[in-house]
Amino acid sequence: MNNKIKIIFILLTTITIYVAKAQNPAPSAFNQKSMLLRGGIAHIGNGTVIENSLIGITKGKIDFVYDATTVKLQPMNYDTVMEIYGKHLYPGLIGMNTNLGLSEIEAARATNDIYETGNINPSSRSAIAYNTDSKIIPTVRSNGILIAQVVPSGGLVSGTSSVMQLDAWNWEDAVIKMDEGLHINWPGMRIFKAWWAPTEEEQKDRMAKGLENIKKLLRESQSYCNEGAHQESNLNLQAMCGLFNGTKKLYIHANYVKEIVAAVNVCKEYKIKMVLVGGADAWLIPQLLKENNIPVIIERTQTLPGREDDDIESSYRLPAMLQAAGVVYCISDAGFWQQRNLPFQAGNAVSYGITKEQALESITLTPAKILGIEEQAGSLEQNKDATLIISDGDILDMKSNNIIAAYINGRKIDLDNIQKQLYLKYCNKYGIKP
Amino acid sequence: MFIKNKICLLVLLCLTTCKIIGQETFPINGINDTRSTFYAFIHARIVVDYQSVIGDGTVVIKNGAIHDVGMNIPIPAGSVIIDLKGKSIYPSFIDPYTDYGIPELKTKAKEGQGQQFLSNTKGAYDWNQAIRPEIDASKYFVSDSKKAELFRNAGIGTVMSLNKDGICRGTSMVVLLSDEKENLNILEGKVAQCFSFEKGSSTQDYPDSRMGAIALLRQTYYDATWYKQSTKREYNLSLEAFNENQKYPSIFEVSDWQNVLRADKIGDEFNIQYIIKGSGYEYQRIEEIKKTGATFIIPVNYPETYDVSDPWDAINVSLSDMKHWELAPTNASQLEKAGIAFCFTTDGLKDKKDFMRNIRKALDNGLSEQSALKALTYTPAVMLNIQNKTGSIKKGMVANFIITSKSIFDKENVIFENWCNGKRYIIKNINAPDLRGYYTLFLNNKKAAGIRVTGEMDGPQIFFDEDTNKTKGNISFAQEQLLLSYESKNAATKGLIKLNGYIDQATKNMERIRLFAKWAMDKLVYCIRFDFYSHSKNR
Amino acid sequence: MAYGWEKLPTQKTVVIKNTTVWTNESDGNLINTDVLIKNGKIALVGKNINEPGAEVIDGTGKHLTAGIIDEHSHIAVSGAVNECTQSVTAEVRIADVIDCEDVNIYRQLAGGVTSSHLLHGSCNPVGGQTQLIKLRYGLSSEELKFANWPGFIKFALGENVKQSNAGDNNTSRYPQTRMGVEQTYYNAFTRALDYQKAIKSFNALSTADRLKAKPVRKDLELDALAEIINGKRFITCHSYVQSEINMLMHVADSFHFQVNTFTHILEGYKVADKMKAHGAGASSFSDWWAYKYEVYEAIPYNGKILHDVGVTVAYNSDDAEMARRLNQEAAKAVKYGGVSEQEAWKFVTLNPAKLLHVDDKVGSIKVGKDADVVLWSDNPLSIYAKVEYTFVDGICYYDKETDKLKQKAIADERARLIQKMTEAKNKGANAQPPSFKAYEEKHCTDIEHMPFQN
Repeated sequence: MNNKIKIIFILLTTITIYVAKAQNPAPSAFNQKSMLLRGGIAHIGNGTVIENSLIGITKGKIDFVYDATTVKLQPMNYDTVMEIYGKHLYPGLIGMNTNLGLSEIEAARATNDIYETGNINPSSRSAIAYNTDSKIIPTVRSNGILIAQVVPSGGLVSGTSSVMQLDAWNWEDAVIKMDEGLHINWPGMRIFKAWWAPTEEEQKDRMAKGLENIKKLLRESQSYCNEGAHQESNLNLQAMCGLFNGTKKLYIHANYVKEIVAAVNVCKEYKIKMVLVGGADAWLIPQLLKENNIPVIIERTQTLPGREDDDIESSYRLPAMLQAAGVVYCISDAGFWQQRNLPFQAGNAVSYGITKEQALESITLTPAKILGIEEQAGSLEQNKDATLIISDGDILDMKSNNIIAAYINGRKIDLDNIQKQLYLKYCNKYGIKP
Repeated sequence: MFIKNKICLLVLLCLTTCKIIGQETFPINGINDTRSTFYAFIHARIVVDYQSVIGDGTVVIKNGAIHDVGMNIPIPAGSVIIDLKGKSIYPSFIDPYTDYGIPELKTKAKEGQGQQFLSNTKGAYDWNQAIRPEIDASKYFVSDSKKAELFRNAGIGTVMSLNKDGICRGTSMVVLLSDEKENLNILEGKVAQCFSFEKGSSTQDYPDSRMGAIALLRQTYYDATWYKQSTKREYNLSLEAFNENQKYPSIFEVSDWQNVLRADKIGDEFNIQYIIKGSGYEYQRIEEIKKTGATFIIPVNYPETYDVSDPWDAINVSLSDMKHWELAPTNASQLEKAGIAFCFTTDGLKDKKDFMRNIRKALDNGLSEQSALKALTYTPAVMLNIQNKTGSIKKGMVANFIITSKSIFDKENVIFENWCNGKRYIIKNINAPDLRGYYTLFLNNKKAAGIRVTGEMDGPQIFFDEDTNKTKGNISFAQEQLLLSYESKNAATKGLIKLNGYIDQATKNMERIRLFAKWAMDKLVYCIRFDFYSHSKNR
Repeated sequence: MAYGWEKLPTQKTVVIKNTTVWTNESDGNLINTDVLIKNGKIALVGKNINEPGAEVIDGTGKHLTAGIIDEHSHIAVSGAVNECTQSVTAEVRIADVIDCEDVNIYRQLAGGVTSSHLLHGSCNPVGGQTQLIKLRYGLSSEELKFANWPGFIKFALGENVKQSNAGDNNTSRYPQTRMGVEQTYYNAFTRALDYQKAIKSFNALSTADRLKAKPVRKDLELDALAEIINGKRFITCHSYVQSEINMLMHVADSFHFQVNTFTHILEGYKVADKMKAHGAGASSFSDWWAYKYEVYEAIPYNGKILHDVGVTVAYNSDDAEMARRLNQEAAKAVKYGGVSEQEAWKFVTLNPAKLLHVDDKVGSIKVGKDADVVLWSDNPLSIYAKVEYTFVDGICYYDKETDKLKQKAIADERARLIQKMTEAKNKGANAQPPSFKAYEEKHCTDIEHMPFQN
């Protein structure tokens, strides 16, 4: 035995003794120490699994990921060695297209920073409104979501999103990638019938104007961005420039096939990097998406079919259909508090034609690639950030999902949250075993 | 005994007749111009009602009523005789579900944006603004000649009119569509009490759901019973009217087949057999529809086809909508097959011209002609209890009938005239010449062109055949004058040729039409002569 | 009707062989077991059942359970789920407006649901009378109704009934505070008592006196409230925070009846002991929270705590989508708090049956009970489990193969009609632009012009 600390990692329970704190746990400090994870079933995030893995972590980075059965290697100079035989290791999950941190209580207006007024708001930036002290965030984190693309909503151009990690003192600490993309809600391109529907004429008019509005915005912002010096500055047009120089992606929220086709074509015209969000009809035109390298963020698999006659399983099958067609996709969950169910949105697709590892990839490595942070996150690979989670069982299934430890950049995250605190408080009251 | 019966019959007959030709109460300014002319329609094929036809008979009318009808009946001296050889007379149709002649009777709107817990209706009325049994449609009736014409052109002579607003909508009336005074057009002031699930113009919050509307209706029935039971502190005009209206049949308007069952179930609770103003979706559950035992008033507003030329648009149309497009025209025949009594209404049609067109589609989909005619005449008459006044062509009844070129169900049929309340309304000129055939046009006694007149009798097309050129021209017949024009390409007559002429009424010689023209040079007069003439050729 | 039947499915005699049976009874889970379904009932549970003429389904590697019962649903309701316009609308009845053509009935059969409790919404303290239905897809609304069921009524507390999130135009209906909510109940039940008294004394009069006396106005609203007091009608009450839960139990105590079920009940864990003492059940969401202020202290361990304290716990959907995977919601009771798998499974089957007073007919696999059963491809609590067969009254209303045939039939029929429509248009028929029938999701607080959630 060397003189390093060795920890037998039993269930390092996240449920600590009850203290009435009703506070979010403090973010953990940068970890100077090194750590070796031994024996875990490592789900790499790129489709492969190492049943008995050996992972070295130093100063927040992954030194190596080995198969312990083939690589005979003595733990060298690791401050901590954790034996996690039989436990599952995953890259930290990435929640795409979420309002996390921008809202605390949906119906309480004062807590909402999601929808800016007006229709065209490219310059609004989600990062600076991201509330690290939201009580929601620790509940999401304790289910394994460690990184989120925080997105504003509403209007035609909702604003600019950023990528945040979920254990920080303030938004500056939290930012992984600032202002990475713009979000457009593509105007509806089909006439719909319902008691709340505007008249057919109004709808047609709206459809015509909607598309023209987007084209006009792109045309004028491109010309603005091409200007040398501006006589008159325009912050909204300025915020669009990233689209034309390739530093920002354009996330287009659209579900109906005609909307998708139109969006793809408009983006082609302006040579914009497009990501499709929603894409319920994407399976109808996989070739178009594949040819133009357009990834899809599937909003939810757990949703109702869009049309009465649709296959009742259509939303569960969408990932498989895109997978089969070779379209790049990731899976998200709507809203903010709902992010806790992200692994299950992916898990639900497994019985409908994709593998568990593909499902995992759709909430780890693929989102990282779409966000352009795959150099540092999204999979358990050498030189990437040690942003990972350890679970008792398969995280894609609620029956076995139980996160027992999580690390962001090698920092061990406190998995406590307000709900666990209340749980213990009342277990205590009734004298029941948590 | 025997004699007594006879007297009763006489009195009855007199009553009905009296009511129809009863004297007017209005003073006359000027010389009395009441015309009690006899009109005798002879040699007509008379469709007396949906089950009997007289092949070659006579109808005599006077003072708005049918004086006599039969095969060999005497024609009163001095009758204006109209020879209808080859033509038919049908009872004009009854539309039992319209709002003809009734102004919008909206309830009082609320002020401001807040919630409204009680009715805005002023006075001793119901607590709920959508319960309006006190509305008596006849009190608001004002004839509307433009709308009446649209109905008449569709062959309709009688309509039921109601206030289509609210859950309990008050009583409806039956009116004739002539341009007589309102007093003479109202056939019955109150015929039915009307209902729906929609609160209409009521701005009161309650009810805001269908289940609320049902609960409200149920409670209203209970309240009305309670109200009449004994001494009361409250005087309620609405409940008074509601109770009074119970003696009339109740008509319930619904929007789909499930609502038929919902309405009927309320009826069962209160021992009321509603007549159902249906939706056209009845065919979807015909067995359950039959179990209601209701008579149906059904619209024929079949959905238009969908434009499915774009496959991405087509995916948005649900199969159920597409199926309804296909099956809606079978609704009537399925009702017939199931033995359900029904009548037709123009309600829901954008254009009343589609009324017969769509009923013919129902025939194409299996409906029998007899049932269709029954649904247009007899059933609504019986339903509204006016079968002794209109709906068939019988002695003593209102002179309400149409003159047609063929069977009303024939696609080529033309309705020439609609006699309503004894008044003549010309839709198509019965004497309009059938000009279809071949002609030769002579200009300055020189053959200028062959002419072919073809197409519909009342809107024919004309083609001029000059040597090798075939030109489509214009033809019209109005105000006893015939107009022709075409663009001539012949060297001699080059230019626009316009011709005006007449058919010689003295000889009725259709084979010779005189035409006058101002063409090329003034003062030139030309005429054409028929080469041959045939009614039947080459339409 | 989408996914309709060419011919209605019929009752059959079926043996499901060699499967894992989640009995929900003292037997627990039985492995390698056969179940015979006959005449719409569960006829036999045991080994090596041979029934001549029976259809045999191989259940090897699969799991047979009782059908899921959704205690809180708003599917299959036509013309709005809320009558919000008065604080007490006990007179309205969901039974009047069942929509048997809602395709969600079929979609939920595919998620293993066999019964749904259709509730009035939650925008007033006393909402309408509810209706329990069986998902007999294809039958008419009357035929969907669960027979011999006592009848329930929806109550609601908190933000919705005091119009907290109903917009600036809706701030005048009494009550606007939780204080007013309590008084609304006292007022309603007191009126119902007076009403009952008046009827009693009228009925006590001699025939002669009755003729002279003023009869009591029949009041459908008070009738329903009186039924509650008399234990003939049961409450399922939308509720969130502990104070109001406590309050309603006190109201009930004052009028000597029980609150049958608290639905949503996200702070039930704070008053679990009081609920247990009162005898109320809980029908909760598994893990919802933060959608409004009153659910800020909702926790996913709610079910676990209530269950351990001894309250009957169900998990419900209140949502047409979630209802398709209530099995997964039950599994969250395993995840959050470690409820045993068999107990967690009861959260969506036997326990809602108990709360709805139909556990003598459905909710477990027991000889003599209705054959409302589901065959799953896997452990039903697993996210990987799929429904293979759903039986209601021994009639198979969903199975994978038939579903494929239906899809094929829909595709063929669409193709034929599109062809026919194209021809009609080419022949000159007027054509309307295709329009998309937007689906209206129904939730608790939906009122016209105001579709938002829970």
